[in-house]
Amino acid sequence: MSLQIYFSKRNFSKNLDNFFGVFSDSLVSQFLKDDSLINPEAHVVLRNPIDREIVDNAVQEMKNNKEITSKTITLSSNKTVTLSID
Amino acid sequence: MEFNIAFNTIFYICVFIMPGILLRRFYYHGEFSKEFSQGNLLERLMWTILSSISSLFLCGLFFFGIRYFANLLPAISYTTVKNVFDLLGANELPEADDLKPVYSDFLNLIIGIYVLSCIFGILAHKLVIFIGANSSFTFFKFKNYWYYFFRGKVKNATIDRKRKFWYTDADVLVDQEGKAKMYSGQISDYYLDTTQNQLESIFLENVRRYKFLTKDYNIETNLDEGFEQEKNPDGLNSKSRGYELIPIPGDVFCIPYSRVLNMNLTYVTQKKGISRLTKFMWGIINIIYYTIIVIPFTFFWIEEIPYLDFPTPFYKMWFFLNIIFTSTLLYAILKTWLVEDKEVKAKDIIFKIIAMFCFASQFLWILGYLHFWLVFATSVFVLLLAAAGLDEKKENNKASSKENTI
Repeated sequence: MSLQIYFSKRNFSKNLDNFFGVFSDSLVSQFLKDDSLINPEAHVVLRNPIDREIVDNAVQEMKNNKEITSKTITLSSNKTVTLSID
Repeated sequence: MEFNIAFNTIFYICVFIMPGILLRRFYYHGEFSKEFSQGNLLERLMWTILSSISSLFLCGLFFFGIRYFANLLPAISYTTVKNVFDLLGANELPEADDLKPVYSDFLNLIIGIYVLSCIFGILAHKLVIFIGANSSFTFFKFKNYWYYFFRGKVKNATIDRKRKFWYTDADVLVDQEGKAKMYSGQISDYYLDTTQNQLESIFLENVRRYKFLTKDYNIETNLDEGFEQEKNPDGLNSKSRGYELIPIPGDVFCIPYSRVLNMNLTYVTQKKGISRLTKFMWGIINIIYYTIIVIPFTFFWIEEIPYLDFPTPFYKMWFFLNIIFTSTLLYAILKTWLVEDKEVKAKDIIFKIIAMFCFASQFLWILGYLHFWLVFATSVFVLLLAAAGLDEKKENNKASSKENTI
């Protein structure tokens, strides 16, 4: 992925969101992470209907087949996640 | 109703009770907030006094530690504290001339003790959770035992340290007018009653209803009917039956606990994917980051800071804020570089680096090396330019927007 200078209103709001997100994430969310019932990272994934279905299917498959202890899935962002169930 | 209270009592409450209340309030936060008001009055009072003593002791260590290096609260000494307490003990107000030189330092000291009590409460809570003391030692165990079940922190389901908790998937069997129905979803919240910590309601997200199927997968049966067929020798073999999950529209699904027959919890975890060395480095970075944030906070109580000369309190405040902004951005850059995905790195890190340098450059005017307007205007201009101009390649954007449309 490479970057280039390209002026737009969309870039401006996106970068500023990202900038403020840094502070809320580092100074506030940091303290909420440990106690939350759904991990904030998982929450982002589950909000996306496509990813939610992928995660659900993987979890159901693991629940139904005890031999599968972990499963690697690819999310819509091309990120790979290895899920396990206890 | 007549209610008389002496002034010295208010003072004693402010000094000896409030720090304990604040420490306990912040220790019992989040999932355990109800525990703060549980127990009988005498028990709570004893814990509050004990917490106050601990908090005052720690604050004493903290303030004396700083006083060793810098001129912290110069008006406060053993003699001034004793004089104030003697006067209050006699239920008298100090003379205005005696009070004038010390009142601002006393006020600062009390605010400092209150703030530190809150911080100690949060830190104690985090420490107990982080090292798992609440799972291992009964003394540290919180009364909200449902937290341990919903977070996979019960002894027989301790999550491997190489994996991190994602969520708890619950299959809940619910009684609906004599018929058993089963729902599946992610536990998003729960409510306890205020006195006994008994579960009142469970909230699920992405809920689906179990629809059990017969062998030919055509006839729907209720779960209780399914059990009847299981008993019947001519009926269908339960192993060959399947089920279907029917999504239930809506954001959150509430189940009153009084209707729950039983629950099956599955802890979904994710492989961490970072090495021990990275984890260790990230731990060190976290300690340094929070130390950097806490130390400048003490500057407000110090009149003369070694090696730093601030013309007005305004400069001191900007120095403090700028340290927080710069170190937070540096922390975020290191986090992106060390912990987050490689794909995320390139697009996020450059703007963060530019923003960090813009904030770091503010030290030039705060410490008197350059003029305020020159530094401030230049950095704001650069920051806005970077915010509006930095993006991924145009072709990638087009591709992604096309995908989104589809």
